[in-house]
Amino acid sequence: MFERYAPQRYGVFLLLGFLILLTGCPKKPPTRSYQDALEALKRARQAQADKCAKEELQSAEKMMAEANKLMDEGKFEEAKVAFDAARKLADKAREESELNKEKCLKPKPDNTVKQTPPPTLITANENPTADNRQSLEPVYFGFNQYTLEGKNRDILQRHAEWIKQRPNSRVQIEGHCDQRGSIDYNLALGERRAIAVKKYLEKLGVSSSQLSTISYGHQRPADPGMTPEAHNKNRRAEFKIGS
Amino acid sequence: MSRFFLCFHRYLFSGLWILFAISFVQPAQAQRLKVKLGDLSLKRYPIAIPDFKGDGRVAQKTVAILRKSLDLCGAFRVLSPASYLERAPRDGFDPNSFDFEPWKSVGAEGILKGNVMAIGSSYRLQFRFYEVGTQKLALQQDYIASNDSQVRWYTHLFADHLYKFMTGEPGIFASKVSFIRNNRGKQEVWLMDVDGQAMQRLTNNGSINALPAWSPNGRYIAYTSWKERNPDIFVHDINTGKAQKISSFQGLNTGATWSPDSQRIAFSASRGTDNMNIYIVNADGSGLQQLTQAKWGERNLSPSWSADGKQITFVSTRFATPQIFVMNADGSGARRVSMQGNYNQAPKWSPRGDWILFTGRDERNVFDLFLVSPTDGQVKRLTQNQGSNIEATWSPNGRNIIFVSTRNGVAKLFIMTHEGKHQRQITFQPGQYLTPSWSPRLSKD
Repeated sequence: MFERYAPQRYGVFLLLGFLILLTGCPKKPPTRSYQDALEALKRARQAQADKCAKEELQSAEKMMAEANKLMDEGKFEEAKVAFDAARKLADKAREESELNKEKCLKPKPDNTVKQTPPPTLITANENPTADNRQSLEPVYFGFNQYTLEGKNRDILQRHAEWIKQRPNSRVQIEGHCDQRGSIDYNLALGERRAIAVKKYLEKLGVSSSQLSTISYGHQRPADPGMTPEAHNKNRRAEFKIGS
Repeated sequence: MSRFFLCFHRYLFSGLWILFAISFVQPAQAQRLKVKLGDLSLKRYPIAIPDFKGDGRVAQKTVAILRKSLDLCGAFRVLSPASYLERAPRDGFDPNSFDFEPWKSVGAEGILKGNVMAIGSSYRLQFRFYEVGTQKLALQQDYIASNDSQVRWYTHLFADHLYKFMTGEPGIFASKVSFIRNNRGKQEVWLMDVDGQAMQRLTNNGSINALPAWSPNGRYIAYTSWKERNPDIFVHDINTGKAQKISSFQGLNTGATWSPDSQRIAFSASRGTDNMNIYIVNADGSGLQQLTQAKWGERNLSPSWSADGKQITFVSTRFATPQIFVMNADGSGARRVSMQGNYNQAPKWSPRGDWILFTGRDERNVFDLFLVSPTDGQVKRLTQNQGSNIEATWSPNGRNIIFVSTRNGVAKLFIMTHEGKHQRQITFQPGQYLTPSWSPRLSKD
C-alpha cells in the first residue's frame, strides 16, 4: 500500500519515502505507533497481564481495536493517537501485572482476608524506631503522567512500611501539577496522581482508613517559577501526616 | 454587606433608575449599521470623544471610562485627543452649536460629546452622539447618578446604547467579570467591570478558591473552594451575600457551569475514585443526575452548555489525551470534536452557538486559544506568539473574549474580539489573574 503514496517515476526515492513514513508523518498511516503498540501488547501478554492485570489488558486491547478501526477508515491522525494510547495502556497493564504477579500466580487459600504483609516488612517491624522520619518525601511525575515507576515505587515501599508501623497515623496524599495548562484539567490530573499513589500504598498493605487524598491542581506550586526545573518540582504527590 | 451589593442589587432588579433616565433614540430604526460585527473587512468606527463639559473631576472620569471602554470592545477606534484637543473647548455641546468641518479633518466619523453637572450631591450626565457624515444628532441620553459608582454604571450603560446603535447587537459594558486573583497565595473570587476597573473582592475565606461561574440570570456565582478542606462547589447569592454548598462528594468537586435558564449546574466529581464524571444538579443542590460513565481511569470534566441548552461540551481523556467532546444534555450521543493536538482543555460554548472556544497546546508545546466548530470540526486559532494564553470566557453577546495571558510575565486578563483581533490588557494591579467568567448583561434596558 505504500507504493500508492510515492510516484512510481521516482523509483529511487521510494526508499526515502518509506523512511519518511516510518518517522511518522501525520498524513500517512502511523506505522511506527502501530508497531510500538503491538510490541507493548505482546510484552504485556508475556508478563501474564491476562491473569494478573486483566482489566488493564482488556482496556489496552479495546483501544487497539479502536485504533485498527480508525486506521481502516483512513483516519490516520486519530489512529495514531489511539495506537499511542493503546501502547500506554499496554505498558500500564504490564507494570500492573509485574507488580501483582507474585500474588496472583500463587494459589489463594483465602482471599477474603486482607493481604498479609510481605516478610521484609516484618523484619522492619522488629526495630520500629529505626525509621523516625517526621515527613514523607514527595514522589514526582512526568508531564501529564500519573503512573508510578521504578524509583517512585521504592519510595512508596518505604512510605508504606513507615505508615504501617504507625497504625494511628493518618496520611493525606496531595496531588499537584506544574503550572501549565488550565486549572480544571490540572485539578483532575492532581486528583488522578493522588489516587494512583493511594491505590499503590493500599496494594502494599496500608489500610485505606489511614489514607485520604486531595487535589490542589497547580494552585500550590512547590516552586512558583515557570522554568523546566520548576515544572519538574511541581508535578508531585506530597504526604501530609496527621493523627 | 458592602455598599456595592446594595447598589448592584438595585441596578439589577429594581429598574428604578428608569425614572431618572430621560432617553430617546432619534432615527434608530432607519439607521444603516455602521459597524457590522464579525465582518473582518470592516474598519473600526473612528470616533472622537472630546473632554466633557461641566464638573471637572466627574467629567474627566466619565470621558476616561468612555474612551477606554469603547476602545476595548474592538468595534470603535477612539481617536487620540491630542489630534483635536485644541479646538474642542470652543465647541458647543448642543446641535448647531459647533462646526462639523474640523472633525472631518481629524478623521472622525462620529463625535461623542458630554456634559456633567452637579445637582446637589448628585450628577446629571448628558451624552450626545453626532454623526459627521449627516451632521446630525444621532443618539442622546441623560441620567441622574447619585454617587461615583452610579456614574460608572450609567456611563457604561450609555456605551452599551451607542454600541447597540452602531452594531445592532447588545452591548458588553453593562456587565461584570468574576475571576480569581492570586495575591501572595490568597486566591479569592473577585469582580470587576469589563474595563478592569471597580475591582471588588467577593470571597474572603483565606483558602484556595477557583473557577467562578456566573449564572446567566446574573444572580449567582458558583465556584470551587477548599475552605472546608476538600474541593467542594459553592453557590454565592449576590442578593444575600450568602454561599450554599451544592456538591461535596469525597474527592474533587469542580468545574461548575450553568444551564442557559440558570436552573441547573453541571460539574465534575471523582467521588474518591480514579474516574471522573460529569453530573447535573438543580441550582439548590437537589436532583443529582450522572451524565458520563467513566471506565479505567477516564476523566470527564469542564462541562459547558450550548446556548440552546440542548448540548454540553466537555473534556474527556477516553482516547488517552484530553480532547473536546460534545454530548446531548442528557448524556447521550457523545462525540469527539477536536481532532488536532493532544492537550485540549477548558471548552466554552459561544452564546451565539456557532463555535466552541478552548485552550490547546500546539506542536511547540505552547498554550493558545482556539475555536472549533461543533458541526464540522473546523478550527481557528485566536492567539499566537504572545506567551501562554488560556482560560477564556465569552462576552454575553458572543463578540468578545476575556482570557488569561502571560505575555507580559505574570498572568493577567486580556480582552479581544471573537476573531482574536484587537488584543488589549485589562488588569494591571498586582497578582495573578485566573479563570475569568463574564456575567450576563446586568441591565434589562
